[in-house]
This record gives sequence, structure tokens and C-alpha cells, in this order.
Amino acid sequence: MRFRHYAGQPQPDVETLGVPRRVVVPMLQGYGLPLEPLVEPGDRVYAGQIIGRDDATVSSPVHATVNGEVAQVTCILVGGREVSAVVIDSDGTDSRGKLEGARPDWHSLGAEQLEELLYSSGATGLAREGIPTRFRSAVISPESVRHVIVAQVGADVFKPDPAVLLGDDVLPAFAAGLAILGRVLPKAGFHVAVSDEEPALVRRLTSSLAGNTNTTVHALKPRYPQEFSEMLVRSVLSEDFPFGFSSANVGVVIMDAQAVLAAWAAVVEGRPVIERLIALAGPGFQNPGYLRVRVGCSFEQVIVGRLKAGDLKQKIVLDSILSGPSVEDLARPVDRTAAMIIALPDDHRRLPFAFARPGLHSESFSRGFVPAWLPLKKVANTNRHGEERPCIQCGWCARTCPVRIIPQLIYRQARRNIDETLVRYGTFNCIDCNLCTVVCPSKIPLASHIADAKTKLLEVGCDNSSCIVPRFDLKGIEDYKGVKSIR
Amino acid sequence: MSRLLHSIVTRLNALTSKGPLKRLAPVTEALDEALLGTDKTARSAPFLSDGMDVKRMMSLVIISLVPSAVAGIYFYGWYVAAMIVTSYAVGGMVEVAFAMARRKPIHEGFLVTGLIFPLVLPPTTPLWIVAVGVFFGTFFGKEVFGGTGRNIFNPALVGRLFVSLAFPSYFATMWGKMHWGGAGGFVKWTVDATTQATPLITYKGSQLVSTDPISLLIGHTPGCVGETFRIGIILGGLFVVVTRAGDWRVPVSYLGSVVLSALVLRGLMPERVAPVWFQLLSGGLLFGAFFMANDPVTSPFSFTGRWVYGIMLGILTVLIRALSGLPESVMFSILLMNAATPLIDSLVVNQVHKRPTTRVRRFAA
Repeated sequence: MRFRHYAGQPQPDVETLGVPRRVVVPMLQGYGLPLEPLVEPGDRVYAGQIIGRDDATVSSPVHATVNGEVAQVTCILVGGREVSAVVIDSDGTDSRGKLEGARPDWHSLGAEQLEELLYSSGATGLAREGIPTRFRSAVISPESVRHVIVAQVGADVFKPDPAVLLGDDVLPAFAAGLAILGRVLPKAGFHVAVSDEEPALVRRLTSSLAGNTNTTVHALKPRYPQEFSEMLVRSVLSEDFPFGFSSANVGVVIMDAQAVLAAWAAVVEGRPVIERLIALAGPGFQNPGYLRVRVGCSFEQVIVGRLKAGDLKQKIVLDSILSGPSVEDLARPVDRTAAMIIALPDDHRRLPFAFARPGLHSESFSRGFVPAWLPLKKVANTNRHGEERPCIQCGWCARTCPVRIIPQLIYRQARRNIDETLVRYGTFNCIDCNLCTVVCPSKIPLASHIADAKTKLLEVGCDNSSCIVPRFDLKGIEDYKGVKSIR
Repeated sequence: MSRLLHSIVTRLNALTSKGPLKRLAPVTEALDEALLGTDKTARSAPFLSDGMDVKRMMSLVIISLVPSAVAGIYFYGWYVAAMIVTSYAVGGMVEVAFAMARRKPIHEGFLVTGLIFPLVLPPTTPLWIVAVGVFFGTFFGKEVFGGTGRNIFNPALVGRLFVSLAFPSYFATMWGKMHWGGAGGFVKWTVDATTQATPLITYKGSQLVSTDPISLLIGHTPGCVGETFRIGIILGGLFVVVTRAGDWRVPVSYLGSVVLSALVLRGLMPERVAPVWFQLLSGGLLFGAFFMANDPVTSPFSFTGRWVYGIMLGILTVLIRALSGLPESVMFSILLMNAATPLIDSLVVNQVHKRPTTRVRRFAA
């Protein structure tokens, strides 16, 4: 499904947030297992100092992001599990520590030195399943990576601005970053996936990546959920995906443009990942745009003074309003994988005769509102736009499902019985893109019913590995299972 | 205005929240929801919901039926409007009664059933027959199966079948002479119940085509209230398909299959099978294909199943028209295929989902 013409897209203005007074650095950021902090309360730290590193487990190092003193080591919730976090009181200075061994003429560095730099900068944790190095930053080895996909398609409701992440001034660094990764992952082909609605970007990328012989640019349809690993592997590589496992298991590493730029910054400038360029999007922000923030500052610090005033509370959502989590506790820190913060009006207001209105700003799969026919700006909010009703088998969920399962069939079957039939119907193929819940006119939360069905199936010992494992040459399964079960 | 609405609805809700009127709660709830809209918001991803709900979906179908209904009034006078009102009143009462008994919200499905049912009746049907038919259709066609989403047969067709079997005299000959030209039925109450035959009945009797395509398209032939103005049906049907309130596969496969099977069968027995254009444009075929066969609840949910369903419908329709004693067969074909729907679905689903697959939609280009 395509989401177009939404009000509140991030504008290409980049602002830098000052050094925060206090940061909370979680010991789990991005891919890997949680680390144990190497510092104690009272320790002086500098921005860029490694405060968590464990070469024995699947992980990437974590850094202090400001200069100052460790106030305490506490526990916070990250994705539903308790993780230690280091609270650092900043002294307000802006200087940063550099990584040793980084140099602008990176060509003279060997692959081992590059790996070391990538790992110690934390850039290896930015790819979805980690960038493999000899330090166990991913579950597979660098030699088993067949493909690297850099996805910047903008298929979601709110789209990152290509002029910011892949602007003319950034492209040389981007090309160099890809070349650096090419040295570390010698057997990989590189693929840059962007939207086919940006022909100028495709041209600029193609010409500036002409020197990278192992790299191809792919113009993909910006249809949600194009940027999910399952769809990228199919769209870019035309390969089947082992549902339930990860792209790393088939030797594919997927990341976004910021990860490539972080790799470049680590190797050429010696900068560890202590900053993040975050897009502010959504109708709830006064001026949607870009903000450069220190990792570990709170959501509160990022959004304060930037939200629109009004009666409506704004719902703060991370990365995607279709599949991302909402941020209920604004004291939570921003981690180094955050890409977009969305403010969405939590619109509980009732709209009299909603069913008979032209719906000048409404989204619809069914073309039943005016914006389907005229290029009007759509305005997203959290309202459900209807009451829950019994399923009438209209088939919209199946029409929109990217993995071609029949969500309502699984929903009805799961209410009757939890058994092998559900596996056969493709319950484990569900990639949690939530499109079925979005389009359902009966307002049934199909995606969460399917997620429940998955959990219940696993409880009774049903999964689909018996039919996936023999068909694929899966790498790093043992490690992966270990990580997945505690992730 | 909206404040006034709010206060009225709040008072009604207060009336039925407790005490002797508690049973009426579904009615005030339905009013509440329909008039004021919802205040529910998403608590977890996805935080965006489609603007379409069942109310609007049904409204789209009703809009697409408006040309047929207005044409019905033009041809046969305001009595048609009285039929529609009767149908809504009685159908609505059954729906409300069941909602009250089940203590469940009132569902919007009867809004479409209540409009479709009078449109498939002859224009001179007495109001008490309309009432009996819609009562029977809603009660035995829908509610006994458990209400919206669970019925096997199209409720409007169940009602239509019942009254045409119970009161056959009204359906054999009394088609009424339509108003034509000028203000037509807009200034009349009803039509004279004269003995007239529909083109299909004429063909059944004499193997003669008594009309031409243009008359059939603009509706200048006897027939049921809503099935004759075929330009309006086609426009309404396209509207339903384009807004996805109905699936395009069913009408396409149904009509395509009628064309093909009529061609083939006419080649085999030209004396019994009517010409293709006549098959396509006469009787309730267009109305049935767009508005009744396409009912999501009673047609297969699997896409392959919808093709199979439509193709079988077309073959059945042409066969029954040609070989049985019945002049028209759309109703029987649809009801028969409604009965076959669960079978089609389970065959297709078991075939497609024999084992877990790794299929995904092609997204790249």
C-alpha cells in the first residue's frame, strides 16, 4: 500500500541540539545483547569513551556521549526488558574523543584495522542484524555476507528527506563508506535501494557510486512495507526469505544510509557513534525537520517546545506510525538507532456523521474518500474512525497483505483452535507490518490477533522451522536463536 | 449543531443505561455511533487507521443503488418508495429485536439488504408481501445463522425466494405497465397491475426476442423495480468496484462466464439458448452480478475462489435459463452458489496453503 501526500513531512532543515545536561546511555542499543557497564558512579568520562564492551557475546561497544561524571548506573526498560544504563552528568563542554588509528587515507589501512575501527566506534551495531566483524558484532562471519542492502526508500507514511541523508555534500562520504564496508565484507555485493519517485536522486547516486564497482542502485516502489527485510530481499535480490529467521541467516546485511555514514565517520574521522540525526515528523510538530542529538538525551529534551499547542495530546511514536512503538515515558533516552520521532495528534474527538463526510484529509485503501481522487494533503491521527464489527470477509486484509496470507482466515481459525493448520495458513509468514489492521473496515486488530496466534503456537511447540531450515542454507542459527530468545 | 446532537444523544444514552428501558440500549448506542462518530484511538501500532468503516462501506453501496431506486420510482411511481420504506421498517425491526435479545450492537448490514430487497420485487407487489419477505429474509436468511458475517445465503435473496414460492401469482404475470416520458412516475402513485410479460418470459414462451438492446439498457421493458434501468446499474456497479466496496472479480467472472457459456451453448442448441447480448442485458443478471453475487459475506473470500464462484454462476445462469421451466435464474444460481461458497473456499485454501510457503507479493516494480 502506498502512503502519499501526508502533512507533516520532515523539511530539510538540520538543527543541532546543544549538549544535554544529563544523558542516560542504555547498555543495549541496536543489535546485540545487553552489555555490563565498565564504569562506576563517580568516574569521569569523555564523549566517545567506551563504557560497555564485550567481545565474547554478540554485541557492539557503547560509548559515553558527553564529557562529565557518571552519576549512577541504573536499570531502564528497552523493548520490554530491563537493561542497565549509565547516567552521565555533563560538564557542558563539546569536545569529543577520537578513535585511534583513523585516517583520511583509509585505503592504506588493512581490513583488520578497518574492522577494529568500525567495531570500536559502535557503527557495527547500526545495521539491523549487525555488521559482521571478527568481534562478534553479528551472528555471522564477514566472509559469509553475500549482499549488503542499504535501504532508504521512504515507504512509510512519513518519509525521510533524501536531500538531508543523501544530499550532494554527503554523497562522497557515502560512496567512501560503502567502499570501506566493501573491504571488511570482501564477498558482498552492495545494493542501494531508493524510491523510484526520486529519479534525480537515483541519477546522482548512480553517478557518484560509479567508482564502486561492486555497488548497484535499485529504484524501488515506495510501497509500505518495502523496507522490511523480507520485502527487500525479494525486491532487490529476487530471493526467497526464510520467514521467522533473519536476513543475516541468509547472508544479507541490511542497514540505512546513516549506518554507512557512521562507518565512514569512524574510519576517516575517528568519530564514534555518539550522535544521531533524527527526523521530526508528523502533524504534531510546529516545524517538522531534522535534529542532531546526542545519544542518551531524553525524548522530552528533543521535543520540548517543538510540539503544537492545543487541546489534543500528541502521541509520540518512534520511527514508524505503522509498525513502531509509542513512547509513553518521555524520560526514556533516544538510542543510536532512532531515525524518526513522530508526533501524532491523539484524536479522541468525535466527528458527527463521520461516515457521510467527504473526508478531505482521510486515508483509505478503498478510494472511498476525496484524497484518493484529488491531491489533497492527508492528516494522520490516531482515531480508529469506526466501531469494531464482525468480519464480513471483504478481503481487504488479504488484498493488502504483502506476504499473501489471509489475515482474517488466521484470525477466525485462531479463535477456534491453535494447531498446525495455523502454520499451514502462513501465520509465521506474518512480518508484523500491520497493514491488515490499518485497512480493516470492521476495525478488527487483525495483526495483534496474528501475533497472539504466533505466541500461542510457539507455546504448544508448533513452528515452521521444519519446513524452512531444509530449504535454505542458513548461517549462524545457533547464535541467532540465542539472541532472538532474549532480544 | 454538534453540541445539540451531543446533548440529545447523551440524554438518550442516560435513559437506556439503566431501568426499564435498558433493553433499548443497542438502539441508542447505534444512534450514538452513527450520529457522533467514534472516540476510540489506537493504543499500539498501527497508529493510523483507514477512514473507511462498515457504515461508510454500506453507504457507498447504497449510493451506488440510488440510480436504480430513483429509476424505479420514475417507472412505477411513489409506491416504490413505500415499498422501500416498508422494507427498511420491517427489516430494521428484526435487526433491532435481535440486537436487543443478543445485547450486541446493531450492525449496518440491514441497510443494504433493506434497499436491495424491494428492488428485486415486481412493482405491484403488495406492501404486506414486502413486509413478509423482508422479515423472512432477515430472520431466516441472516439472524438464525448468528447475524452479520455468519449468514450463508444472501438475506435479500432468501426473502425473494420465499415470497416468489409462497405467492407465485404476484410474480408470474403482474409486472405492471410502466410510466414513460415526461415526469413519469414522479407524479404518480403507482401503476396499473396489468398482465405483462418480461422479455425473458416472452422468450421462454415463444423463443422470440421481444426487445432491443437500447430498450433494455434504458429500462423500457417490464421487470422488477430496480433491475431494469441497466445504465444506472452499470454505473453503480462500477462505483462499487472502484471504491472496493465490492470485489471486481465476481462481476467480471460472472458476466464473462455468461457470455462464454451462452456462446458455446447457443452453438450447440440455438433453438433453446437466447443470444448473448440478450442474456447479458435481460432479467436480473447485471443487478445480481454487481450487487448480490458480490455480497462479501456470502461469496468466497479467497480470490481464486471468487473466480471459480463467478464462472460457476455464469454457467448455472445460462443453463437454467435454457433448460429449465424457469424464465429467470439469477436468483437460483446465486443461492446455489452461496451454498457452495464454504466448499469452494476450503478447497482453494487447502490447495494454496497445503504447506507453509515463502510467497511474497512482487514489490520491486
